[in-house]
Amino acid sequence: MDKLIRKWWWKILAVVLMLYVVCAGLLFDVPRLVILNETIRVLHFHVPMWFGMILLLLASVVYAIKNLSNPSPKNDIYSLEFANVGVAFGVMGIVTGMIWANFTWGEPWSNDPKQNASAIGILIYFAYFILRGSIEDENTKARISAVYNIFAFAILIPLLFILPRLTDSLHPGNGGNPGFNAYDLDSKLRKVFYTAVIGWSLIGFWIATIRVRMRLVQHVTEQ
Amino acid sequence: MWAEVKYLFLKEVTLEWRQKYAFNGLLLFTVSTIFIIYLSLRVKNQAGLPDHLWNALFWIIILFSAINAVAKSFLQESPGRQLYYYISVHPISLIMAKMIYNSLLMVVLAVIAVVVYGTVLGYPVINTLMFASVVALASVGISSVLTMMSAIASKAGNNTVLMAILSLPLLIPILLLSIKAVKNAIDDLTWADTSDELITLAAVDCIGIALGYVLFPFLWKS
Amino acid sequence: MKHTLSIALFTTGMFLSTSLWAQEKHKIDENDYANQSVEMADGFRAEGKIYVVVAVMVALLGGFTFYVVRMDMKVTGLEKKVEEFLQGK
Repeated sequence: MDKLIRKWWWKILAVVLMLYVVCAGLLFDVPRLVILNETIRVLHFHVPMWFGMILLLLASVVYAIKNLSNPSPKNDIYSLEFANVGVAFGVMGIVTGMIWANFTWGEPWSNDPKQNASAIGILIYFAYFILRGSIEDENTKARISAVYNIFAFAILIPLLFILPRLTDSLHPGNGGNPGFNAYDLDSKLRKVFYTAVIGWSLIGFWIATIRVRMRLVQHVTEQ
Repeated sequence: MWAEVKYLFLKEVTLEWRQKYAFNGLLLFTVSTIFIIYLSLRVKNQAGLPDHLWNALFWIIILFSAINAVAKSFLQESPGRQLYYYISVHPISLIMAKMIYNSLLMVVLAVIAVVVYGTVLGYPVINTLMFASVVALASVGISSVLTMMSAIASKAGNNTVLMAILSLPLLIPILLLSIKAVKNAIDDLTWADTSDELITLAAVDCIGIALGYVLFPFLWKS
Repeated sequence: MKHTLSIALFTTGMFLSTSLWAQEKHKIDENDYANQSVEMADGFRAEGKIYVVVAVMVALLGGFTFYVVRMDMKVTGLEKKVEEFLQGK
C-alpha cells in the first residue's frame, strides 16, 4: 500500500474513467422515463458519491482493524483520513441528492432510504471526530476511535442496506414510484454507471492518500 | 467464564438493590418524562393521541430512559472499582455481565414505562405479544450498543454528552425498525408481516453482542 | 472456543440481515429507449448545444485534476525532503 499510493497509473486511470463518465453520461442514449426525463443522467454523478462513501469508510474500518491488531500511528492516520474523505463524499451525496429529489419527488428531503442512510453515516463519523478530539493521549485516541469505528460500521452497514427495503414497503406499487430506486438498471446504463463508481471511488482514494501522506510527513517532522 | 459472568451479574444486581436511589431516580426520570408529555399534549377532547404519535413518543421515551440507565454502567464506576475489575476478572466476562444486566434493566424500565404511559395516554396496541417481543428485542439491542458506548465514553473522560452523541446515530436504525414493527402490532397485522423487522432486530442484537465480545478487550487494555 | 461464540453470533446476525436484501424492481427495456411519449431534451441535443455542457464539465474536471496533481507532486517533494533529512542525520 505504501508503494501503491505513490504510483501514478491508477490516478491516470481515475482521470480517464472520469472523462469517459462525463462524456458518456451526458451524450449516450438513456431510457425515456416519466418524471425523470433527462435527469436520469444524474445517476452517473450522484449515486457514485454514495458508493464512494461506503468504499472509503470500508477502507477506514480495515485500517481500524489493522490498528487494533498492530497499533501504529500510520494505521491510525490512514483510518482517520479515509473517514474524512468518506464523510466529504457523503455530504456531496446528500446535497446532490436533495437537488435531484427536489425535481423528481417534489421536495428536497423525502424520506428516501439512501438519503437517510448517508445522513446517519455522516452523523456517526462526526461523532467519531468528536470522540477523537476529546482524547488527549495519542495511543488511547487511536485505539478507542478504532473500536468505535469498527463497532459503528459493523452495526450500521447491514441496516443501511435493509432500510431501503423496509421503507419501500411503505410506498407500494413500483409503477407509482417515480424514484430511481424502483428501476433495475439495464446493461447500457450499467456500463457508464459502474465506470462512474470506479472512477469516483479512485478519485476519493487519491485525495485521501494525499491527505494521508501530508499527515505522515507532519508526523515525521514533529518527532 | 460463565461462572464469572454469573458472579458479576449477581454483583450488579446486589449493588443496584443496595443503592435503590439510582433505580428510583431512573424510574422518576421516566415517569416524569411521560407526565410532561401528557401535560404538554393534552388535547381538548379525550380522544387521545393519534397512533403514530403514540408510537414515536413511546420510543423516544424508551431511548432517553435507556441512555440514562445504561450511562452509569461504566461512567459512574469509581476508579477503585475499575482497577479491581481490571485485576480480577476477564474483560469478556465483564462486558457480558454488564450487557445482560443492562438488557434486563431496560426490559424492566420498558414494562414500567408501558404501564404508566398506557395509563395516562391510552394503549392502542392490539397484538400485545408482538409488542412485547419487539420491546424485548429492541431492549437487548439498545442496551448492548449503549453498554459499549458507555465503555468508550468512560475512556474518553467520563463524558455523558459524548456518550449520547456516540450512541444516538447508532440507535436510529434500531428505533426505525422498532417503530415500524410496533406500528404493525397497533394495526393488528399478522406475524408474517412483521417477521422481517423481528428478524432484523434479532440480527442487530446478535451483531451488537458479538462486537462487544470481540472489541471490549481492546478498550479495556489501558 | 474463545471466539467461536462471537463469530457464530456475528455470522448469524449478518446472515439474518442479508437474507432480506432482495428487492423487486421494474426492468428497463428497449421500449423505454424508443418511446416518444416522454419529453426529453431532443431539440437541445440536435442543435449540438449539449457539447457546450460537455466542454464545460470536461474543463472543470481538467482544472480539478490539475489541482490534485499539483498537490500530489508537492507532497512527493516534501516526502523526498524528509527522507533526505533523515538519511543525513
